[in-house]
Amino acid sequence: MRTVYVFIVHAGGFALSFVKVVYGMIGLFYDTMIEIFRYGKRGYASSIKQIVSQILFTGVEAFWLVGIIGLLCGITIIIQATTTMPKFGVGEYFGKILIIVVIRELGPFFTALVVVGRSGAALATYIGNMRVAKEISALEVMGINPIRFLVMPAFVAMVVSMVCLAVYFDIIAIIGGYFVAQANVEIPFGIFMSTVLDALSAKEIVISMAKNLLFGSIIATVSCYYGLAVNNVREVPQAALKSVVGSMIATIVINMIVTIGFYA
Amino acid sequence: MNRTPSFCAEDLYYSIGGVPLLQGVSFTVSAGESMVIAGRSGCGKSALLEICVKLSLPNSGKIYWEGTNTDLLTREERVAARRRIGFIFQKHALIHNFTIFDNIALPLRYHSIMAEKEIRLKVRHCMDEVGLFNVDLKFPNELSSGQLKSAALARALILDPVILFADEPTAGIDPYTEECISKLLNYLRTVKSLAIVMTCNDIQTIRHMKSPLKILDNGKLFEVNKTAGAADPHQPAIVTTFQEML
Repeated sequence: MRTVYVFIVHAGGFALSFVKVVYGMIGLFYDTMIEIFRYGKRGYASSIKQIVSQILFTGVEAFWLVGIIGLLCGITIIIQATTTMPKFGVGEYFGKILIIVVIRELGPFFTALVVVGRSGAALATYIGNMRVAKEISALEVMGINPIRFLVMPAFVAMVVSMVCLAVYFDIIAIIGGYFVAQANVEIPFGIFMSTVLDALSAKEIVISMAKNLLFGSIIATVSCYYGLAVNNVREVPQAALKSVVGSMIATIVINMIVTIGFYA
Repeated sequence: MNRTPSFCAEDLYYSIGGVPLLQGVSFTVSAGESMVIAGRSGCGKSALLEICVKLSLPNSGKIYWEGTNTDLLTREERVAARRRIGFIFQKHALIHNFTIFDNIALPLRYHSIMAEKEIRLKVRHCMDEVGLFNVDLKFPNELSSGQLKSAALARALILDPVILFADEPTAGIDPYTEECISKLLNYLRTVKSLAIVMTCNDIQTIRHMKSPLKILDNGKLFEVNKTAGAADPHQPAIVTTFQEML
């Protein structure tokens, strides 16, 4: 009886803290949206500067990593296709396979994983360290809104970088797939590309972009939330860890919901 | 003439984790006046300053900035009011990935008050005033603690505040820089009518500041009478200690 009671108390406590965290994240997302659409010169130039530096870190500096993963994914997918499908006429399906696997699922998901592991953790640590050093308090006391100065630029940069990196991932994966397809079944580039483009519909592009936007928003919100929640220096590594775990779980759940909603 | 005080704290009560830090603290500082608060480490001096600028909220009590009850300010009004307040943190709190120049220029750039050319001139002037030379492109981690204090002071003064709160602005710096900072603060107080509230345990600075000294002990503020003769047997020992040292 006591065990059941303890279990219920723990489960209740966990549920309560989960709701609190989600509520906090929704609040932060709302405040960020307000700052994005708020008209005014205040902090505009500073925000642009912050956005550019965040895009450099999150997007440009991650190009090589996303490129390598995209290339390897494209190669692996086509190798699997050529080894498991009958040789005759397999070229006709390369486009469809790449679209289904890369653009629908792997492109947004793998890019999100790279952004979570690389930039999400770094963002949580950056903001957490600022909290510990009272830099965020210093911003507040100067009349500078930390959401406008820190969170909003990080959010915008993360979303823009996520979309660009995912498109780049898709292109590199398709090119990688083509080289393997060429080596295995000697398919001309024109025919290969026409199978890819035939399989690519407006719906695929819209859903893929929507996933990228959602993933970027989630990673930025979760990372900033955990960064801002830091109270002392011991919590900084925990914030990075929580941001990675939280972003990954949220990304997987959202990915599953979108896939079920549109393709099931 | 009846002047509105630049800053007024009224009956502040504050506790952390059940430990009372402030128990009915009240004080007033007008334009051209300054006040130094000393006290044991951990007695709540920094907490008091943070409450004064509304970075922390007291359990009870009121804060007035230039006669306005801060509880009645909207978010926008508070942002506008904060532009007239300068604050120096004990550990400088400069943005670590900004250069010293960008740190000092940040409030001006954010509030879009001036053109970039004017901002450069103003920041240059402010840096000269606090004695910061050849550090424009350096980052906070490349500066000595004295230079960091000076940079934090420059950033606090860049918006021409009417009230300055300084949390141990001369702690851990050399006597020469300490004297320069004290002279600058006295100059700003007398010539530019800046109201200054600072915490400080450095006897040299307390002497240089020529301000009323109050001691925070057990959550209450005690005045130190520098010219008093025999010590009051009812006052806390730390007040007597400061009285004797001065």
